[in-house]
Amino acid sequence: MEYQKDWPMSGKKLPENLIVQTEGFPTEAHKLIRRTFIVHDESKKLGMHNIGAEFRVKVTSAEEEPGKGCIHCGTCVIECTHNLERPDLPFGVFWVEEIPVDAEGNRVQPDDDEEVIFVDKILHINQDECCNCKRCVKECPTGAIQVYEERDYHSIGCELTDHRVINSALKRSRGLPMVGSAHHGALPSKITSEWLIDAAEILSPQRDNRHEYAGNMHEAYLGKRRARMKVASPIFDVNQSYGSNSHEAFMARMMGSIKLQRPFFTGEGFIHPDFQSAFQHCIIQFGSGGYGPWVELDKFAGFDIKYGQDAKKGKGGRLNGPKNDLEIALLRCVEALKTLTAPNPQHLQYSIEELPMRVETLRALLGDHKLIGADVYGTAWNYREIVVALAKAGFDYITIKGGDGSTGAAHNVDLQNRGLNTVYLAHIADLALRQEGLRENVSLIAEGGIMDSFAAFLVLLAGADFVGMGMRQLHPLGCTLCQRCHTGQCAWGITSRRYGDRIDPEHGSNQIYEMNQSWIHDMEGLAAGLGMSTLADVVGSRRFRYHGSDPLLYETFGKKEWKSQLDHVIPPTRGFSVLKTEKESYDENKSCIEENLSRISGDTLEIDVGVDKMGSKTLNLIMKEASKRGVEKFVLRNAGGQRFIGTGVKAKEIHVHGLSGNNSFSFTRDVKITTYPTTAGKTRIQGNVQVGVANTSNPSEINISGEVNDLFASYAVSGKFRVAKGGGVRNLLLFKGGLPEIWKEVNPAKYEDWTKEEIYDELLLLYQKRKAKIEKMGWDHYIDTFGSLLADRIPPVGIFGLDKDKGMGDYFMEYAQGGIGILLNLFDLPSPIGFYACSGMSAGASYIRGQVHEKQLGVGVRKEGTLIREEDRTFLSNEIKEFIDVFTKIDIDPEYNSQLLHFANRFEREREELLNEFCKIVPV
Amino acid sequence: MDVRTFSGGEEGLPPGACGLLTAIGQFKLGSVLNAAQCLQYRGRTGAGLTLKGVYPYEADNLFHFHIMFRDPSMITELEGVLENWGWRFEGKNPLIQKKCYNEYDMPKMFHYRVTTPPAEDMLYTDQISDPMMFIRKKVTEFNIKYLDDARIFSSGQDTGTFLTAFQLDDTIKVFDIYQYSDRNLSSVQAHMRWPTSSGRGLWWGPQPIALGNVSGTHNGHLSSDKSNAMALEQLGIALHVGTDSEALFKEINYLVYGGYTLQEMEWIISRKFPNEVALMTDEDRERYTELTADPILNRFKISGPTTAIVQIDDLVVALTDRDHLRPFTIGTNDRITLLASEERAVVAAAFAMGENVKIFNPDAGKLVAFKINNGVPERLAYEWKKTA
Repeated sequence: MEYQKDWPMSGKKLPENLIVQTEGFPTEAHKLIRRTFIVHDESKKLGMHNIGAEFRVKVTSAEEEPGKGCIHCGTCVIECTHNLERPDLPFGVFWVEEIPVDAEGNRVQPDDDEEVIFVDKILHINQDECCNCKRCVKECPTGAIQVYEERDYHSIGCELTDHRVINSALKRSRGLPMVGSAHHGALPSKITSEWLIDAAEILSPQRDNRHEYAGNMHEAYLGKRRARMKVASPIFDVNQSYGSNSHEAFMARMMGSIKLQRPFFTGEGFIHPDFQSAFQHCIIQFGSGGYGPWVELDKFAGFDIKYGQDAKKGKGGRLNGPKNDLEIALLRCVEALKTLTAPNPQHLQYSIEELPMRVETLRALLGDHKLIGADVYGTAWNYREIVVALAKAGFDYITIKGGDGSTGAAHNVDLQNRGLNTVYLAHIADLALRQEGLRENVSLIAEGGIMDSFAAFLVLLAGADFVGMGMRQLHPLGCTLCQRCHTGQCAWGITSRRYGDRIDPEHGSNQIYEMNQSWIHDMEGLAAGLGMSTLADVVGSRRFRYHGSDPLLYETFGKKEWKSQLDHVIPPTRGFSVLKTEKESYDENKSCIEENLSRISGDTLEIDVGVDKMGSKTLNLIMKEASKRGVEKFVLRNAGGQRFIGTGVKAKEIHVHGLSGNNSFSFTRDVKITTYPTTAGKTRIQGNVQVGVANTSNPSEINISGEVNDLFASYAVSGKFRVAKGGGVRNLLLFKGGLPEIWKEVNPAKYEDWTKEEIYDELLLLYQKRKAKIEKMGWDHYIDTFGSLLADRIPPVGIFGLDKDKGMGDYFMEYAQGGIGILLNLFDLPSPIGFYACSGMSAGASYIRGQVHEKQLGVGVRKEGTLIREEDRTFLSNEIKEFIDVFTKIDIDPEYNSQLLHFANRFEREREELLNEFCKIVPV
Repeated sequence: MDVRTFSGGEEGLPPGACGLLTAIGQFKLGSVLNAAQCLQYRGRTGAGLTLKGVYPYEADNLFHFHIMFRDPSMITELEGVLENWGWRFEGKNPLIQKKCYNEYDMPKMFHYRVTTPPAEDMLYTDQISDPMMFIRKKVTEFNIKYLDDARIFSSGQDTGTFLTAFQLDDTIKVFDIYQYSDRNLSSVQAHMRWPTSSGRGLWWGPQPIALGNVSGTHNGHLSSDKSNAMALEQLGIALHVGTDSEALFKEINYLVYGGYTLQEMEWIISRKFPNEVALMTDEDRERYTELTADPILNRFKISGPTTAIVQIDDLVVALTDRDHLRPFTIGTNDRITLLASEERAVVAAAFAMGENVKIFNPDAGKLVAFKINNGVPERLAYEWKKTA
C-alpha cells in the first residue's frame, strides 16, 4: 500500500516521491535493501504544550543487538493500530519509509523501474501515540522492541501535583477530551491488601478440597425464588456490550461462560443474531439507551436492568459515531454513524414504587422462570434502602457495583472519584436484606475491582453469593490495560471491531475457561481451609479481618467478629402480589379467570373489567391463557387503569374501552391496539392511557382515542402510534429506527433443546462463514453490506392530534434514534409543544404544525421552516390521512369530534396550505 | 412487624408506600377509601389519612391532638410536660380499640381535646398571641424534644390525621375510619408510602404530615432537601418530622401566608427552564428574577421527583416537579375535586361515587389550587393570593 499525505507528526510535508510502507515484508523482490535506519520522530509541539510521549518505544538495531535487532519486516506497522491524532491513517506508532536509489546510490523516482535498484528503509517511530498495549512487543519476530515509561513525561511535579495532574490540565487547556477507560487497578484499591482471611483450627478442622468433599463451589443457583439458574462457577463475567467488544471478543467470553456453566451477561448493546443458539445462556441487559429490537426476550435466560450510568455521572453513556457502524446500528435498531446517548436514568422507573411495576410487567412478559436482575452502583448513604427496595420489588438478583471497577469509557474525574469498596457494599447489602428477612429471596452478585481469587473469596465472605470479574476475562484475549478501549483502536482486537479477527474465539474461550477454573480452585482451597464444604458456608460468614488504615473498613471489620445473627430480623409477613407466581395468582382468582375464559367465542374474547373490579395481573392471566386457547382478538369493557394490558399476550387485535394503566401494551409485537372512551354508570371514562404505555414495543399499530401521559412509546422500535389528543413529558423517548429483517427472522426457539456441544458447533460454523466473508470482502466493504438492510427498515411513527387546552409536554422525542414524530395541532394552539423538544435526537425527525420557538428546541437539533421536499409532504399527507381515517370513526367527545372534522375538511380542501404550516425538526 | 423497627430502631427500615388521593367537596368517604386502595400497589406499608371536618370546630383555642407514645411508661410524664406548658386537656380518649393491639404491634395512641393557655400567658412565655401560631411552635418543639418517646401527629382544630406503619386497609381498620362517615367532611387526604429515604418508621414515615390545620402528602424524593431545610432554618421554621416532604409543605405554607400569588409560588418552587424564562414577558421576567434571586426563596426551589398535595385550612395546593418525574391527575366537577397520583384512582373514585368528572393532567411543574367554599371546591386563578 502506498501512502502519500501530509505527515503531521513532524510538521513536515512528505516528499512527493516517498513510499510509506504500511504492509509487511517482503517488499518487491527487485528492491534490494541497501541500508536501514531507525528514527524517532520528534514531537510537533514545543514549549509547555510539548507534553511528549508517555512511553518510550525503543527499537534496537542489528548493530546494537546482532542477530536480534530490527529487520525492518514491517510487522510492528501492521500490528500497531493506535493513532489518536490521525485515526484516519492506516498505521499507528510505526511506519516505514522507503527511499528508492539507483546503482550509484542516487535517489530516484519510485516508479522508475529501470533505475530503482535499491531501497533505503527507515522505520519511523511516533511514540506520542504509544499506549503501552505491548502488541508490537509481543508480535515482533526478533524481539527488537521494548516499551517502557518515558521519564520526562512521568517525573514532573510533586507528590500531590504529579504528571497526571499537570498533563491533565494541559490537555484540558488544549480542548482534548478527558475520557479514560479500563482503569482497573490504575489507582489504589482497598480491596487488594491489609485483609486477613481466617483459618479453621481444632474445633472445625481444615479440609483438603483435592481429596475430600470440601470447599465445593461448583454447585449453586443464581436466583432464589421460582426463577433459578444452576451455575457451576462463583465467578461471573460482567456486562460488556456487543460493539464495545468486537464480535470475536464477545463470542470468546460468551463461549467461555457457557463452558463454565455460568450466565453470560450481554451488556446493553443487545446481541448478534448469529448467537441465537446461545440465547438460553445469556441474560440480556436493558440499559438506559434501550438499544435493541426487543424481540424474542423470553428465549433468554433472564433480563437485566442497568440502573444509572454511574461511571459517567450526569453525562450519560455515549457511543461515539465511528463505533456505531452499520452493523451495530442494525443490531441496536438505531441510525448508523451517529453518536448515541444513553441517558443517566432509567426513565421508566424514576421512583422506588415503580420498580415493582417494572418487574410485574417483565414477569407478565417472561413468566416466572426467567431471571430478572438489577445492576446498581454503590451509593454513599442509602444503599440499604436501595437493595431492600429491589428485593421487595421482586428482582431475582442484584448486581452490586463497587467503585474500583473498570469501564469502557468514562470521564477521568469520575474514575478518580469512584464509589464505595466492594467488600463494604456486599456487607451492607447482605445485612440489609437479612434484617428484612429477604436474604433468601434474592441473589447478590458483587463486582468492581476484584483482582484475583483472594479478593473474590473475600467478597463472598462479606455476603455476596457471586462475584463478577470483567476486566480479568479480557487478559487471556490480550488486554494489557492500555486504557484505549474508547478509541476503537485496540490492537488486540478486543474493543476494536476491525481488528477482532486477531482473536480466535474458540481458543480465547478455552483460555478464559482455564483461568477461571484456576481461580475457582484457589477459592475452593481457601474455603476448605476454613473447614467449609459448600459455597453457602462461605457466603456471608465474614471470616476475615481488616487491619488496614481505612477508618470505615476498620470500624466495620477491624474491631470484632460479627455476630452470627442479627437482632430484630423482620420475617416477611405479607405476600406481596409482585412476588406471587402466576400459578398462585391464578389459583387465587380461579373462578373469575375461568368464568371469563368460558366466554371465549371463536377467536374472540370480550372481558368486562368492571372499572376497579379486576386486578391487573388477573386480567393479564386471562388474556394470556385465552391466547393459548386460540383467542386472537380481545375486547375489554370498562377498563379502569389496569396495568400492563396486553404484555406477554400473543394477539392480533386488542380493543380497550376505558382507561389503560401504566406500562400497558409494553413489549407487544405485531398487534393492532385501539382504545375507546366509554361510560361506566354515570362516569365517562376517556380512552386515555397512563405512564409508560407502549414502551419497548413493536406493534403493527396503536391508536389511543384520548390522551397519553408521560413516556408514551418510549424505546419503541417499530409500528404506528396514533394519539387523538396530546401527552405529558418525554413522549417517544429514544424512539428507535425500525425493526430490520434480520431480527424478524430470528428463531431461537429451535435451539432450546440443543446441547452445549451443538451450540458451540453452531456458533463456530456461523463465525467461520462470517470470517470468510470479511476476509474476502475486506472489513469496510463487509460493513457496507449492511447499508441496504438499514435502508429497508420502516421507522416507527408517532402522530398526535393534541387537545384544545393541552399541547405536547417537554422533552418530546428526547434522544430519539430514527423514529418520526408528528404533532397535528388540531386546535391551532399557538404553542403546541413544551421545552427541550427533540433534545439529543441523533436521527429521525419531528414534524410540528404551529409555532416552535428556537428556545423550545433541545440540544443538537435545528428547525427547518416550510417543508419544501416532496417526500416530506407525501409522507405527512399519508400519515394525516390515516390519522383522520382512524379517529373520525370513534366518538371521542363532541368538541374534539367537531374539530377533527374541521381539520379533515381543511386537509381535503387546503392541503398544500395546511402542509405549509408544519416545520420540521432534525438533528444537526 | 415489630414496633421497634417501625419506630426508628438502630436498624429500622420501614416498608412503606407512595400513592396519593385527595378528595375535596361533597363526597362519600367510603368511595374515596376504596378508590385509594387501588394505589396500594405503588408501595408497601405506612399509610395515613387526614379528614377535614372529622371534629367539629369549637373555638380558636381548641385543638384536637393525636399523640402516639412509644413507651407507655412515659405517658404520664409527657402529659405533665404539656400541662406544664400551660395547656389544658379537656378530654382524652383512646384512638384505637384495645383489640387492635392484639393483632398489630403499635404504639399507644390517644385523642386529646386541648386548649391553649390564655393569650397573656402565651405572650409571656413565647411572645405569641395567636393560638394557632402557638400550637405550631410548641408541637414542633415537643416533637423534636421527645422524638424518641412520643409524637403529636395531628393537631388541628377540625382535622384529624390517622397513621399506621401498615397498609391503607389496616389504617382504616385500626382507627375504624368508617365511624366518621357521617361527619361533615370537606376533604380527605390519603397517602400510601414507600420511603425513598431512610425514614424512621411510624415515628417519621407515614403521611399526611400534619401540623395545626396544615397537612400534606408527597410522592417523591427531593435532592434539594438540604437546601430547602436550610432556607426554612434561616426563617426560624423548624421541621418536626425532618423529611424533605415536610420542608416542601412548610415552604408552601410560608408562601401562602406570605401573600405570594399562585403563579409566584410556582415560579419559586418549581423553577422554570432557562429557555422558558427567556420567552417570558419583560415584566414577568423581572418579577421572576426578583423572586428567584432572593437568597431564601432561591433555596425554596425543589429538585427531584414530586407530586405534592397540601391542605392549608380551606385551601388545597398541588404541584409536580418541573421535569414531571411523578404523575398527577385531577378530576373535577361542580361538587367534587379529586387529586391523585394516577388517573386510575380518580376514575375509580368517580365511578364509585357515581360522578362524572372532567379529568386532566396538569402540565409539568404547574401549581394548581382549589378553595373549598361552603363545601364546594373552586379552582383558583394563577393571580390568586391570600389577602388576610
